Amino acid sequence: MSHPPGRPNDGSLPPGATARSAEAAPMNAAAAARSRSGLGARALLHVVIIVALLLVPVLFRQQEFLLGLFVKMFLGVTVLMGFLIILGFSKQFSLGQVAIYGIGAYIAANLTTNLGIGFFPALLVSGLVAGVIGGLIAIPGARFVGPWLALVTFAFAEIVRILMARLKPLTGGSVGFRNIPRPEIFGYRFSGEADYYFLFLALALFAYLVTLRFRHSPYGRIALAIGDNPDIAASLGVNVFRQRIFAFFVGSVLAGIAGAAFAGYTTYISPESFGLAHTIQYLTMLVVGGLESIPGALLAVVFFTFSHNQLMKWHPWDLILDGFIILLFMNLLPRGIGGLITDLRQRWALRRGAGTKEQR
Amino acid sequence: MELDLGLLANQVVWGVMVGISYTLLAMAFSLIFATSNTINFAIGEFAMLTAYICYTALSKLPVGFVGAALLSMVAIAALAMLLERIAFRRLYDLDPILILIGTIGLSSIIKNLVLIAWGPYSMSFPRYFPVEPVMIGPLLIIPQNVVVVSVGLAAMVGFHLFMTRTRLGTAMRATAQNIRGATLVGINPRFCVNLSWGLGAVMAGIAGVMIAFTYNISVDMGGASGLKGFTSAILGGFGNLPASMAGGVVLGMVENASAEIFSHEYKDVVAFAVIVLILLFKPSGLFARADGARRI
Repeated sequence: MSHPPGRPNDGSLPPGATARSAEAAPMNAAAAARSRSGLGARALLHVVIIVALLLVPVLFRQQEFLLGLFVKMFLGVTVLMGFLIILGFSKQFSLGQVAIYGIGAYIAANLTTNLGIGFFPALLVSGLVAGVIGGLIAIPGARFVGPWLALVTFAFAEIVRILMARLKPLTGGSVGFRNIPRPEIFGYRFSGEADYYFLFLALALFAYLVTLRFRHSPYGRIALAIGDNPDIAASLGVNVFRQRIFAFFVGSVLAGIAGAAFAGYTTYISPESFGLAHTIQYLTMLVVGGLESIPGALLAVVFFTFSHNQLMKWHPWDLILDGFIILLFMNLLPRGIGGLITDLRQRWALRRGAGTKEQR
Repeated sequence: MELDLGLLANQVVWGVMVGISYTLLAMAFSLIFATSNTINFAIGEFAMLTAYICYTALSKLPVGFVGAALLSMVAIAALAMLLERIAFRRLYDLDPILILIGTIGLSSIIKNLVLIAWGPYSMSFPRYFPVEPVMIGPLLIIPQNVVVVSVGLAAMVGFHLFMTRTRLGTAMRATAQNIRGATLVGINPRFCVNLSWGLGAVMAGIAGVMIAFTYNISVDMGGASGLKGFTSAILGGFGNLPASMAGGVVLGMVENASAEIFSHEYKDVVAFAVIVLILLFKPSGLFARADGARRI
């Protein structure tokens, strides 16, 4: 890739950053400026956050409740990252993310309880099966735009919910599936919240990295292009159908893994954990995060995990509040926190650019 | 399993009845889809809310059945138009996905407010018409259901006449076809979109009251009946009103016949499987016209 004509290369690049800014060249000037100045800062931010997260269970070892909240947050990140790939990037309106997450949970529960397979192989298998199921649902929807997929996946989610309550031998019926064995690694059996903390942190990091990698790979750019305008993308030679199914597959794998880990964490799952209300919670997070933005989605998960925990006592007012938040953000800030971050960054980059010119 | 033909026939009659309420929902979906280009997930909740308002009016106010029904229809229409004005008017230029999420959020708000106001228990409607069944040949006919069906049919026909024979209805169809074109010939598209929400809510409300009469009312009826409405709208062909009518009746019959043939537990699964199958094999709907023209 080369610099587009007309964009001045002022030669002030730090030597290490040239390759990256060349890669980012087709983006706009602000984005290029961002990658020039922000690379070090962003890496630093990542390191600080990860170190802080690693320190939490060391510092708060006794506070099981707090660690449990963090586990919920990491779980939310894993599911939401998958949702972001499907709905945010490639604009496939799925309402089935929580159902797929539930399928992952039930598959893992069956594998570990009835077949005696270890937790980690079960995690892999449930992730893959969930991915394949996700890809299959995407097939009818991938041919159409927007709302039709919402219907297919909504119907799918309802069917899954009914089957969870009815297929008693596999799911335990509406009472739920009990006594799922806890994960075991090299003979060490998970017990306290701190053990799960590290497991779910690893999962969330994995989901984050997959999403980041997806976003900045050709797949992610193609997905965004398809989301913007499938016809133009198709006319440029993109196989829209295949890309949509691939995005759905990746997002569903993440959901399936999250579900399997959830089953190993709670040791008890029931259809109630996988209802439409949960889908609405994730939708709220996506809207607040800004649909296309990874940092926005992460901030939304952090905020909503802790706020839902506070608001749970006032159920069902928390669900009403979710609805209001969706409508408010849509009317006042349709690009969400992510859009806000992008705007601020761009303004900052422009101001910096102007400043350096004056100096010269 | 021995199939009892008389029982099956009864299920079909029952299906026609339920199908008419689905049809009204399908018409509401189609209408709002045509004018504001979004599937409105809150339609089912509009139906549910109307049933609850009607229930309260029937049991608390001395207005009689007609009064209570009219009151709840006016209330739901006013609410829907207000909501469109406040919360959705600014969204039409955005990504349709966002509007769709907005209607999902709205449905969550309505559902949970109803849950708080009326409680989680399902309630049976006060009996207003005779419910003792009358046998006509092998068919069991409940007089109350005859009234319900006639009201539903009248609403369907009235709506169709309004859309095709009045100036306002024509203006709304024009808005649905091409907003800019409609503006050019002097139609106020904003008003038409707003009105379509009110009218859609009324259709959904009639369906809600019909369902309330035939079954009970519960907070969960919105989601299920909403989905059935979608299914019939798709079955017929989205945005095509006469076809949606046929779709609703077909769905109601298929659903009840399958409940008889398979098991009652999987009745909803059949309805939802229909969505997937139709979208896979005949996405334009069973009754789509060959030229693909959209009519409302």
